[in-house]
Amino acid sequence: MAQKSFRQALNEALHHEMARDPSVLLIGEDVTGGAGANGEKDAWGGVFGVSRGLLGQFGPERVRDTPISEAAFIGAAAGAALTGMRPVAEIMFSDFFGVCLDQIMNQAAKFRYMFGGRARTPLVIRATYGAGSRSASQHSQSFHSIMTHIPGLKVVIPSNPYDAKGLLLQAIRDDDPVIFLEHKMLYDTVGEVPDRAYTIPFGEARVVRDGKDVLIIAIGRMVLVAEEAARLLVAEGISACIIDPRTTSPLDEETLQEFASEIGRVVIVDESNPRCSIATDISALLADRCFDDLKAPIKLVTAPHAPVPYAPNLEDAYIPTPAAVADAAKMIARR
Amino acid sequence: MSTIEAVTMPKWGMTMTEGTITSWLVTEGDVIERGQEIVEIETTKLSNVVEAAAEGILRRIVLAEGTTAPVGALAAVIADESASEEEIAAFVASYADRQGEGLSGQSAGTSSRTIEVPGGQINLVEAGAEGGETIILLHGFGGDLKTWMFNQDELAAVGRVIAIDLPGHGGSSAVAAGDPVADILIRLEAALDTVAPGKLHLVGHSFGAGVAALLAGRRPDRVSSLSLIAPVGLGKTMNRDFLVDFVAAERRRPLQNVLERLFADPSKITSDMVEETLKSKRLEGVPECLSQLADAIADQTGQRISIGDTLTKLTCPVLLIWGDLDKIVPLPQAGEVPANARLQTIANAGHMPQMEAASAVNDAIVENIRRAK
Amino acid sequence: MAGTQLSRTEILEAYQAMRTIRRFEERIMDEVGTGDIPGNTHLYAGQEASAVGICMRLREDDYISSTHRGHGHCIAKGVDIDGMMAELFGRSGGICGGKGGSMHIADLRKGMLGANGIVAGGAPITCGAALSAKMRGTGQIAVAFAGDGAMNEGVMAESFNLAKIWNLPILFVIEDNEFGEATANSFASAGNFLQRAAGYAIPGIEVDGTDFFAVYEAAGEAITKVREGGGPMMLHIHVPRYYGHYSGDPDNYRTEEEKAAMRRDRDCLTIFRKNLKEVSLLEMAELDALDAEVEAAIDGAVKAARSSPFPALSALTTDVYVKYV
Repeated sequence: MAQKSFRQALNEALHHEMARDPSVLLIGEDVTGGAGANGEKDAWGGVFGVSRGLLGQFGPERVRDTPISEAAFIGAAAGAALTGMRPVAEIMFSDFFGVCLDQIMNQAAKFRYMFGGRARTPLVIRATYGAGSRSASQHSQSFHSIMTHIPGLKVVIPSNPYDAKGLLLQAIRDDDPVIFLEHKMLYDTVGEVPDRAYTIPFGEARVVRDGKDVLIIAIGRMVLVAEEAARLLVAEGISACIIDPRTTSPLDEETLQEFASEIGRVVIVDESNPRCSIATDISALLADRCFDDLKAPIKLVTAPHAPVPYAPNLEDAYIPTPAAVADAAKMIARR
Repeated sequence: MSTIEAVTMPKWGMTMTEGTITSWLVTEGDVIERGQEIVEIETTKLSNVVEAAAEGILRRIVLAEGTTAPVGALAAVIADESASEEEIAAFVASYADRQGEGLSGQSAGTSSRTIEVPGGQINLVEAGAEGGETIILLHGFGGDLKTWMFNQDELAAVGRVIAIDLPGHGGSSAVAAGDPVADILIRLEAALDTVAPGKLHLVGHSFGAGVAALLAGRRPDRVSSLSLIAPVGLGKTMNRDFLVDFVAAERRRPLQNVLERLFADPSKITSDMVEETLKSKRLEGVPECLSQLADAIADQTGQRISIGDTLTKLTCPVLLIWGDLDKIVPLPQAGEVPANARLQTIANAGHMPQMEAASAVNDAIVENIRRAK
Repeated sequence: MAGTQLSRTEILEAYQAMRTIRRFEERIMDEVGTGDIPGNTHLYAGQEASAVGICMRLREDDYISSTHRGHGHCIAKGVDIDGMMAELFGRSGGICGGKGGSMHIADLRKGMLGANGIVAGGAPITCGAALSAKMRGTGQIAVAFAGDGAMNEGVMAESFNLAKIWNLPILFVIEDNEFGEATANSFASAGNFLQRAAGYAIPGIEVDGTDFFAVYEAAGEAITKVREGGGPMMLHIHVPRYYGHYSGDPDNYRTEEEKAAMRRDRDCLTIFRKNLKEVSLLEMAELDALDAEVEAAIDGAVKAARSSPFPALSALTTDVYVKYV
């Protein structure tokens, strides 16, 4: 099986599904790049190169660059989904959710419910997220927590190339609005990815690593941080189990509960800011359901309550580190 | 002359490159018996115990608990009393050089590739030195070549070993609709003619063992020995629910429940095994293939494949290996075992003794192969 | 009225639709007093000729979207009034199962993509419907109804731009009733709507929305051009808003004199009758007969609504998704 990058895995999913289903279209800023200009076409293939090659394969009707006009094109994607298409709309940086939140939150998320079950909105909104690229406050945020909060949306956060492809295929085939979040620092990571198509169901967590002393629940890029923390913990004689929920809405509550009850010590690592985040959400859920089986308080390792800073040393301190996760685990491992 | 044996970091499966010593189960000075569990090792995917391949005294522990080392690294030294401390020290010191020489089979020359056959592609993994006869490993229903993760590298010490993904499984392309078993036999034959034109030692598990037997029946001139682990096709009964439930399980928990039925010790099923199985099952076309194949293996009246007659006609050594706690394909009745086949029962193992009791199964296979020569 | 040839049937159809809207809205105002209509609603009375004049030019499978003031567009597009009334009463027999209410009333089977509680919220959605129609090559078009208040939402301008650069088969209909909630449009809007559209190279037609025939003619011209692939167009239709912004609004920011004058001089039903009388096309008695039919239909709708049960409690959490887990 071939080693492919996260970026390539997403590209494959898009290629596959656009070939299979003519109602799928891709729209967004610079998803091809060079539209209307005199030089090369498909000059960018997406700001991070995820959609390269699709223009050549499927043409400009189905692979459309948009003006910088999120509210309009996200709303248009919602309207197209409502009327028979399967749009994949890209928001270049999830920080831009601010300018189109109405169309996501009040419109797409609510059509089916408000219209008494008679509407279907098979929309995928792909967006990059996350800190680490020195892009500062307005290009580095993590909004999966905010999106998870909104009923009517599904929220998907792959942590590795294999999951990226399977989850994106699932997202496009899903009949509900899906927010598909891609951490910008993961695009170059590689892993084994089958050439063929496959889907991964939503609400199905992955047990990244078996372990018995502490459970580390990690979201998105933080799965890599957790894996490194687990390696550090081996030297301390602490065996860490790592679970990647893959999707925060729906959330695989059963698996988290099962492992939290069995192990009794939980650390959650998440790049969101600490108030009202997926970390606090999962923590409350487990504290309620596993209370009698927990042997220690649930530890949360998150970014601080601050915007993402520019200076590299500050940004590195913003992002949860393997050492911080290992420390949290050590704090509760021997109680 | 004293014998000094190395205990090394094993290679469990194609992708393992290093392991971590989690715990020594013996200490320096202990008397070691062959097959005794001596150290627990963990990789990113699983943890397992290593059994001593030799007997003697544990003279030196080289890799301490918590150490991570590459596959093939020297972990400990077993020798008898007559070996002097100087000899042990020299052995340890020179071990790095020996590794460079390429101990046969150990971490050398495993490669994965895909070959074209009529109807599609076959994915396979090769290990061991070329030349002479080839050992072919055929996994069972719903599995893939990673079934042999505790076997392929060990068997590579005696020769070239090729583990194959059956059509419709792993990296091999789907079976055509219609008669899946016939299709599988045709494609495998073509694959074997391409990659292993000489004599073959076929090793199969469960459905793969049934396939191995049928292949031997088609090409008896090519097959030097047959080692069948819990094969389908000897008895009438089998646990059909297993097949049905396996096909139906699409998520971790239900599939884990199904896979646990395969082992005598369900705790041996790791999350990674479950996920790897799910990965195979998620591929487009695979669920349909598996469903078809399940129907071809058994229906409500029992097993539909029969290999008994085929086996009786063979002249090569035929070995049946069975876990005594197999819940999927039960141990055959006396009358169901062909006269020319030997039955070796593995104690405290379920339907996958090649994983649960790897050393014993590896030894049995090697012995059967040697009988052919 | 010149240049527009409607058949007798079509004229009766137009009158019935407008009268239904008028009486539907007035009846709601009455029913609000009973307490059986939860929350607030935004009434379309006075603007009937706009919805009807435009929707009569549409195919059943054309799309429309509406504003918070959506009953008129629904009725004009053929949405069942029994279902609409039940929806306003919050009952399970409502067109949205009682889960949407007045501001989210919709019927996708009739191409009605929904009233919208967010001002200008429907504009980009309608662009999407137009894009979908264009990509599927069905010849469908989409009409986005919006008010003068919506013209100052950023997404409205974004929608003009997007519609034009993608050459979408969409008609923007700006129903200017001179008020964005309690604030006069003259206070809130700079420039001129047609010029704003022209800024995006979108042709526009200004129409007196109290004259059904004027609307019908302008709508015909615009819709034909849009359907032929000419790209987006805009209609700027002047209409009176009879009631306050919402059903509980005392509307004290307008004087009694101007409100009386509005009802007297800018009543599209009166003007319609007058136009017909002038050309002796129909007997007024025929229109009176329609009035009685409409009354009966509305009575029936209210009765049906009242007897429909509230939704089961289980409906609280259904249809959030097609399938969640």
